[in-house]
Amino acid sequence: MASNGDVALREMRAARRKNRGDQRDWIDAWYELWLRGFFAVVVIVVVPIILTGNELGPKSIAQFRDHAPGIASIIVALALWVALRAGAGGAPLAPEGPDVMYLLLAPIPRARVLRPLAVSQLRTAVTGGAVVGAATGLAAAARLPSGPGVWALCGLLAGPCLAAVFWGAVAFASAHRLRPLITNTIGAVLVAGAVADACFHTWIAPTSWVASLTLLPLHGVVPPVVAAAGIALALLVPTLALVAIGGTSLEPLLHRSTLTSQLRFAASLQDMRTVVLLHRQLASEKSRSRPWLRLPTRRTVRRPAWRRGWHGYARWPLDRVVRVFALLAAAAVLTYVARSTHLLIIFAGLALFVAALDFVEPFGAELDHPTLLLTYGVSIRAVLLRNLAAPIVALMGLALIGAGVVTAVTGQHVFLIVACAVSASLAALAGSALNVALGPPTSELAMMVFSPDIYGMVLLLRQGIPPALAIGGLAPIAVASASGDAAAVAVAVNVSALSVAVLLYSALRGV
Amino acid sequence: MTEPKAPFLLNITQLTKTYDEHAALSEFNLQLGGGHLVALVGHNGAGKSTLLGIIAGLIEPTSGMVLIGGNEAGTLPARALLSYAGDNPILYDDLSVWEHLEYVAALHGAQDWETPSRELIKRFELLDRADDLPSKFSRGMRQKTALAVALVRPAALVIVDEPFVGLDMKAQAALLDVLAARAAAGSTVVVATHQPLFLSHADWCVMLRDGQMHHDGPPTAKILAELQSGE
Repeated sequence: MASNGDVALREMRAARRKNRGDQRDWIDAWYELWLRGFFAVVVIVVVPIILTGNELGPKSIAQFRDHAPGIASIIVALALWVALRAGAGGAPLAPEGPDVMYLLLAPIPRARVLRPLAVSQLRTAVTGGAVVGAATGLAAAARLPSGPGVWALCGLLAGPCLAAVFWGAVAFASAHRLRPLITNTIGAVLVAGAVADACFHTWIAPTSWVASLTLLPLHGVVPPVVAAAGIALALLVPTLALVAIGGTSLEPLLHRSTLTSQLRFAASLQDMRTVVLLHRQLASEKSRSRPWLRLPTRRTVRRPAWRRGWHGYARWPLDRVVRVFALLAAAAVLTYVARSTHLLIIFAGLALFVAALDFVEPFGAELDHPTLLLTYGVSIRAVLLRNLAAPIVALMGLALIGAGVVTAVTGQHVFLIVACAVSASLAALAGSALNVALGPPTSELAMMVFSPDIYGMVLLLRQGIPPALAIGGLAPIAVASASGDAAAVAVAVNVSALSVAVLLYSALRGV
Repeated sequence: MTEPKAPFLLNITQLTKTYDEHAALSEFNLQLGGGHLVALVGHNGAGKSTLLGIIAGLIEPTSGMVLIGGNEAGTLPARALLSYAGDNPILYDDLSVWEHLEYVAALHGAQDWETPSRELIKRFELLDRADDLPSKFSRGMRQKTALAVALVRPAALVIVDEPFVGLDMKAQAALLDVLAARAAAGSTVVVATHQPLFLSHADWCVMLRDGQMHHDGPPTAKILAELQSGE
């Protein structure tokens, strides 16, 4: 039976290759390859430029040597925790729907079907890891001793190893059908081990072994046996996952196969909101049936849109709460570092933009149901505008709390920090609201713009302006170091005013 | 009309499936022998699709056991005995109708697949479109293709979810004939449906209500009335 299946599998793949070949131009294939290569080169060239900075002094280097291994280990442990949780939710494999229905339900070993897919994913992860690793290595070389060549080589080793471990952890959890309780326990133990290593300057936790690969050019920091253990782990984890891959449950696979094809389609349309919504479904994020907090019931509801927003936030699942706070924390840390490396505000702004897409959900949900909006019997624009109140209060409130904590600790630049918190949160919300209001590019837009080149430019502007606005909200940080606090506060006020105008436009634009 | 007898082809014991706090199936038991045409009925959300998904090995049960020919559902020997067609036709975009049939028949080790395949697609009026890609088909034609792909397999247990949806009357009649012939040839065919017409052809009826067994026996006028009234 199995041999029949193997032959059928081979013949089917050949038939599909042939049929696809008939439909696909070889120029498309070369173009795709060229695009990937171009993207890799851009990452390797651009990332070091963004992350560039002055070489650290002896004291800073000594501090770096002391603390970097522990911090890197904790970051790896946290990432592995997330990876294990993703695996428990069914990631990373997403075969085509018919493959689940016909191949995985056929009497042939499932590992034979899933392993090639897994190997392909692992190969992509390792290649991506090598590109990002090399770029990060070159960026590190600007600040740390040992030279760019050594750091680039280190990145070329560490990047693929980290990617292999992370992919392996996701696939291992999925293949062994680990339950969330078990993955959370393993994740917590890993983080505890990494924290212990960071506190006691030891190399006991496995995450420290893998993290050590990122610090190899620092002479005398990483014992060779630890680095060897890190490499061994990077080989072992994905191997164990590949061996067990046939045990993956079909239930999430079928769910993921449908969502992944929709996600690819939405991404091809550059429809960010749909990508976020599908990503939530892919991560099995469901609103809580019991809200965190229940709003008091009122006989007469005066501000339904305001209450609707808070009802939605009160039902955010824990995963979304953690993700949003992680994005906000990352944005805060990047903004802090951006005082010396200005271009990091790009990443900080993007993190805020993605977080704000979750906050503008009440506004987006109304736009998703235009026919429902028409039945409300009140002005559509008024409903949309009112649905922005809860997002503004929620995100700006969190930003101001963060600003309050920072000013309480530092006691400096109070006006600047508060102005930045306001401008950053408003700009992120304005960017995300504009993105949601504009929606994906429509065929009408393509018809209006005759030249493909101009259409490309229009698309670029349309998709680029919302995140650019979110990044612009952090511009006062860059201005402050060059022209002082007063100029930065003035910029923050202007950006805030522009953001309010964009928020109004997004709501008044209607459906 | 005979009652299902041991050894059972399908043996379900204490099957429970919960989604969060909602029980889609609760301590469900069912035993079926070979050669039956079974109507699986119940209101929307009664648990029919969940039950078929678990039998197919697509959905993990929360507790309980499903055995097909004595093998646990989802295992390789159980898959060899089973053919499943879901309520939504899922097909490759880059394989023709004929290539689908050839491929799935070969995966299941069918030796003489060409004659029955030709007969099947002739019954479903797909013979002229055998070399076409289903991605260009209407919903109804895709449904017929998916059913043909499910029925080309040499399975002892055939489970089909809502097969009549999207089919015209002629195709529905053809499908009824094909399913009845399959049962007459010794396979047990379980069909989840809201179609009252099918009940008159089935020799066994399983009715679910809120995830629990409501009726397990030959179809009765009372069940037919309940189905027609939508209760």
